[in-house]
Amino acid sequence: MAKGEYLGEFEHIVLLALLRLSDAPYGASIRAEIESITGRSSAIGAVHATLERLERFA
Amino acid sequence: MTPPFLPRALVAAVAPPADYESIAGDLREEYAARAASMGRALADRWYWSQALRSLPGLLSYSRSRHNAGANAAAVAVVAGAFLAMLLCKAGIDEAIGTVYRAEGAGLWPYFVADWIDAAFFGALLALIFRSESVRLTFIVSLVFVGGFVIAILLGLMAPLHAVAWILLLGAIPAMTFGAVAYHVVRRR
Repeated sequence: MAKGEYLGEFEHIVLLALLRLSDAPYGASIRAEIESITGRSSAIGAVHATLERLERFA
Repeated sequence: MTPPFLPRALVAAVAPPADYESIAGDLREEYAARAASMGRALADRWYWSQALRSLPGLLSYSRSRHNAGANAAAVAVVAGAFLAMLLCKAGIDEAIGTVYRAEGAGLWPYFVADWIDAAFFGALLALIFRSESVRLTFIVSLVFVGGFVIAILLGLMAPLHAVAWILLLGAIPAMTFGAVAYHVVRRR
């Protein structure tokens, strides 16, 4: 299995947050959504880096 | 309300130029909300925590390769200065003698020159990378070498002192100046 072939846990969480935020989601709102759903505080840099990786996956 | 300078500079240094504004904007927005609800001190702590925890993600960012110029220039300058300090510790100190004995205010000209060196090479690399062409790889290599040589020369001329001095006065400002120059030139 090649590295980077499948989505990781955090990527799945970001994707789910994106789906829940139908109204123009952006970094800060995604971060807040992740925190409200999972109770985990994520770094804004991690969210942006994950979004960029997801863009490349698409 | 403005977030603290150092973590802002840290984010500016590692964030990909194309996405820096949106990342900084997200941080500013939440910082302002937290400062209004929790107070400035807690908001500052939150900003520091976000900046430090964001480093791995931002550094692994694929587009951050466009930051290579600023980062490489800063690394060249800082590494050169450290190398020079190590060389001095190994014996050149004794050979050169009193030149290296100055303390305190005597250090400033060398560090200012170090920052200018970082800013100059950051800007120069930004100009080269802006062309988005690989044909200038050779020139980029020369620029790296030039950055190292100047940093080493500055380090050799500077007086010996504790590593903390180098970090506070050399590494952090050099990285900041290099990155800022890089961003300014790229946006023109």
